[in-house]
Amino acid sequence: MSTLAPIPAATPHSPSAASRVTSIALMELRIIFRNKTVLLGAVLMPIAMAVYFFYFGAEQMVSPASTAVMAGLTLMAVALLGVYLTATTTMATRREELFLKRLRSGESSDAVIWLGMLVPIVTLVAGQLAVIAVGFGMAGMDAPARPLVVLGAVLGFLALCATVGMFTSIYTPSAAAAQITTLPFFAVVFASFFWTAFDDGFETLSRLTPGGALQNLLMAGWGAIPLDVSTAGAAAALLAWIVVPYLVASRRFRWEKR
Amino acid sequence: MTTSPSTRAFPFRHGHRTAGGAPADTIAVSAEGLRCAYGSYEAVRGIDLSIRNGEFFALLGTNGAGKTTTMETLEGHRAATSGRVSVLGGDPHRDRASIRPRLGIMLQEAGFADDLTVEETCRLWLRLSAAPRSRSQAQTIATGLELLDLTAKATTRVKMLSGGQRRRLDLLLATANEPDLLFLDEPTTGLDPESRERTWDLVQGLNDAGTTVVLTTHYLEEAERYADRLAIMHDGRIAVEGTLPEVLGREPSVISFEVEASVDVLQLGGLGLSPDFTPTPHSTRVSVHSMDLQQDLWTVLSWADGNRIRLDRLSASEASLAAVFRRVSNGDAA
Repeated sequence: MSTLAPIPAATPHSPSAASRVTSIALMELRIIFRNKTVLLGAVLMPIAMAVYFFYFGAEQMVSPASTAVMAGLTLMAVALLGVYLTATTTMATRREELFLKRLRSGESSDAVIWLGMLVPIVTLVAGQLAVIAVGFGMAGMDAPARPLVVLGAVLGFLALCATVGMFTSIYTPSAAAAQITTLPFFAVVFASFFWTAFDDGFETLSRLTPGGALQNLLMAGWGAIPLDVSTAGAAAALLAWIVVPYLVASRRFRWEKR
Repeated sequence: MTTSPSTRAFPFRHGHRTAGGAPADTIAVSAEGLRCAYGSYEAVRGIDLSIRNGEFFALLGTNGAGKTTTMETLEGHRAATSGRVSVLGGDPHRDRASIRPRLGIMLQEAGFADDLTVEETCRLWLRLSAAPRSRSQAQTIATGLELLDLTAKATTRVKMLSGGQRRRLDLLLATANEPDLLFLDEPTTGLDPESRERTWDLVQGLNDAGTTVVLTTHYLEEAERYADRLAIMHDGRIAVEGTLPEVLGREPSVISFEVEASVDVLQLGGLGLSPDFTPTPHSTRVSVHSMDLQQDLWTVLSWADGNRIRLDRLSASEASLAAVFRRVSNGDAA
């Protein structure tokens, strides 16, 4: 009589999840640096945007609040273009190439594949932001009063752009289509960022938006507003904007083209 | 270029064994009442399947019969809508992490990162796989590339490869981890004859060394030549299953001939035969379906000889897989 073969103990030479993420991430970096169009989008464009903002906004950075606004605008421009748009485009391209399906036919878990694709994009932009921050500092921008809050806001917003990019890629059939499918989130982030400047009685609601949460945290980081419950609410909102798109995307993610 | 005998066997394995050292009478893959639906469309409609360790099993069927959905469910790419699936003792979808290191999967359609070279693609894949360390990664890649005639393309970007070369690279990635169970979804589609030979050399070498192989193909002669057992799917169900002799044994052979229109062919019915007649203006075309070709052919020839009837365009053909396939495709299961 035939019996089912049991699953043996785990293969001893199985690479760790971290090792697999690193391998995929290095592969993705290699591709980014080989493709001039992608390289231009991922590296040069965000820096150009930052220089543009700084050139036209440097003289306005006279108070902690205006400095926080300028930092926020720069961060949004760089992160949305460098992380959000690139993550959406990369996921859509790899899906179109059926490379995501290939990776999933191997031993890596879904989370490892996603992380491997997103980590290099986020790391690259984090590096760009560090360079931009040094440049802003040398140009006379005031350092934040609460650097850890700013750091948390920056990293949180980068993670947000990555997970929302992953989510947006579900509805993005091709790399070209990413130019269209990413527009709504660009609009939402910028609109909600500016919304926080108005005393319209909806301040609590505005802090729940991605741009509003970011702006609130940056304001607190530069000491323009106190660190209080509303800041904690903004941090929680930012976290929710990271986690919820990830959870939805992980359930509805498409591994192959339609 | 021909393949030397020394490279015919899969180079990464030595000696005969079965999956994970499992005895050959254990089951590597089983499905009971497997159903898979895409929304309201049910692609697989309740199939039962059992594949032993070390077996070479071919899953055949027309386009849209449900082969690829079945394969992808067995591979763990999608969850079954209902029914029970077991692959190497676990649920391929739920227990993916523990099962995948023992699987090799060559999908019907899967891509590459086009800007990577062939060698970089292999290196990435091996870094993601729990490949045995009997050889270094460099040795594994070099041997695999040589075996599949891709050595000259090692530094070529994947986007520059031809369709056949991409398919061979596909196979290399699927087999690089020395799998216990290898799924091949139309592995030779688009390959030239020499590449097909190389593909089968490699797969047979693996199978000889104990790897269970599950194959889908549209080339019936490949299934006839390599498979220990086969199944033919139609309309989401398995219509025919068994070894080649078992499948052919259930399929009638055919004796056909033409006689003058004046011949009383109805006499054949009285001889225990069940002929089909197709009258034409000057002759009658007769087809006799036979489960005992030698006996029935003798009967037909004796009838013709005894009645001095000339049989034109006489032919007698054994049952063929192609005939079984055609019959199943027409919805007439055995």
